[in-house]
Amino acid sequence: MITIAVCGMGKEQIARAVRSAADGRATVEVKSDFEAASAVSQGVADYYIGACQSGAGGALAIATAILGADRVTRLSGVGIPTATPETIIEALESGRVAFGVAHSHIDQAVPNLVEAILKRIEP
Amino acid sequence: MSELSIGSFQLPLAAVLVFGLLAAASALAVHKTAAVYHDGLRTSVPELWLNQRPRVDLAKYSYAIGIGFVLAYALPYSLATGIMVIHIILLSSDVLGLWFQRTWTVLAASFAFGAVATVVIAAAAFGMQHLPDYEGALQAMFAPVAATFPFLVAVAIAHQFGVRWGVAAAVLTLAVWRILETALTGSDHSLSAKSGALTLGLMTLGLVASAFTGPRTPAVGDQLYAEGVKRVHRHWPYLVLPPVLITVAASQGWLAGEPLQLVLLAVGSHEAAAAVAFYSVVAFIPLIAMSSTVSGVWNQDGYPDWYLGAGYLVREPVGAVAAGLALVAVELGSLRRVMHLLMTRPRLHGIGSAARDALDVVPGVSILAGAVVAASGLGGVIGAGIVVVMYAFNEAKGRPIMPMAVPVFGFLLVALTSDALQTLGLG
Repeated sequence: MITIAVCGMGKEQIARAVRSAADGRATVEVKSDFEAASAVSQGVADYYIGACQSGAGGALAIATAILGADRVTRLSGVGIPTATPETIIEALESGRVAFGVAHSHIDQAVPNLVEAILKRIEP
Repeated sequence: MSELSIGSFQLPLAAVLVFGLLAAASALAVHKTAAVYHDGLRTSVPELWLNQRPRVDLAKYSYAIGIGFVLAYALPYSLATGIMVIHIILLSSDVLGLWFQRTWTVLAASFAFGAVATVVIAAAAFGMQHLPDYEGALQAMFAPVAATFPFLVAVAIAHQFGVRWGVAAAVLTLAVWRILETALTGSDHSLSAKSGALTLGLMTLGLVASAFTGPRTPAVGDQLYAEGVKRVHRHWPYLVLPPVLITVAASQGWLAGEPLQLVLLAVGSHEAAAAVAFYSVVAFIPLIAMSSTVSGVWNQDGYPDWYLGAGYLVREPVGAVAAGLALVAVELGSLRRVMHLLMTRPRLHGIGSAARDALDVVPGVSILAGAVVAASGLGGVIGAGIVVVMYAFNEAKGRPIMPMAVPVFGFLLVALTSDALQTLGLG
């Protein structure tokens, strides 16, 4: 079973969204951004989801620092549309493991992301 | 002091000059890759000198992640009050500093932007303030925010340690608040007491952090951030002027760090705004220090928002310059120690994150309540309805505008519509 570390603004809301979408097929760990990125870096967690106002700042700054820019991506932000399932799949295919979403888009972005992750590991 | 004056509209030229210089100094720091304001941009800046990304591409990214904060977060508050929210200047400086190739173009364009933005915002706010009943309604909109900000710490504690601890912290906040109100007889009770309550609340939060109740991570050396710290230090000449100008602008009541501080300045409580600014330091230190030292790119506003907090308290320009310089020295001189602390005390990150959550929740709920009341005062049930419907539509559309900005947009719309109807004899 995969482990998803969640952090940032509204992290409990992200955790609920992940649990609901995963329906028992993923473990969720609520952490600080530093702990969540470190967990992915050390292989303790498989994916990272963070949130902040913009989906790029607090959501991804620490993850980018610890994991590197080529392993993180922003899925939503204020004033831009939430990433489509196709875009999310592309991001996963290119090796992204850390995802930033705008706090206000958690309920739209996180279920799509979790479904794409699960589809990828459970073809 | 010289003023830009058109009819009854007056704006100190010093404000235009300070914001022009702040935008220029800030954009110069960005252009030299010494600093950027947006946390989401900072860790991408090294891609420039690693030749992994062209400058214009990064400028476009900076615009994409920053424009929402300018238009759909900071702007309505500045238009409503005439006080500049720092995001407007510094996020624009991020874009301008990256966009232009030549230093002189960066300086000219950003100075012009800062000066023009100052005049436009002041003129718009001047127009709003001359609408009938506007000032009273504005104060009504801000009243719930000014009354609830002492609970920031309690909400942060609830986020980090659970509701039970949050309730205990809220009770403690109330108790301290009450004691201070009783003690501060003869002065401006409520605002002084609120400021005191938050200050004490901050101390409580600081105690939680410094009490090191969480697990301690063994020190693993400074490999992750040593080079970044050196790079930040090498760029110190670009990192002095923006903070000093920020402190000066805040000392004159021209500049606020985010909407909550702006609201407190607008209701005349500089001490409360300063308390929130120092609370913000607890909230943002982990994020700024980590993202800056691993990338080697600092923030023009340093640890948000202690320059602003110092300015709110000093309230005169010469003292503000001295305070700004002193804080720059402390900030840059303590980077290694702060990073060591953050690396060995991971709970500080959790507390910072929870504190940022509270900065969203407490004023967000309060400004909605205030805007409904204020719009009701201006436009009756229809006015209140407009604010509520705009908020609900924004939610239904997936929040294209940040929830904290929608009530203010709604309030401004009601104020303008109400005036137009009265002018037409329909109100």
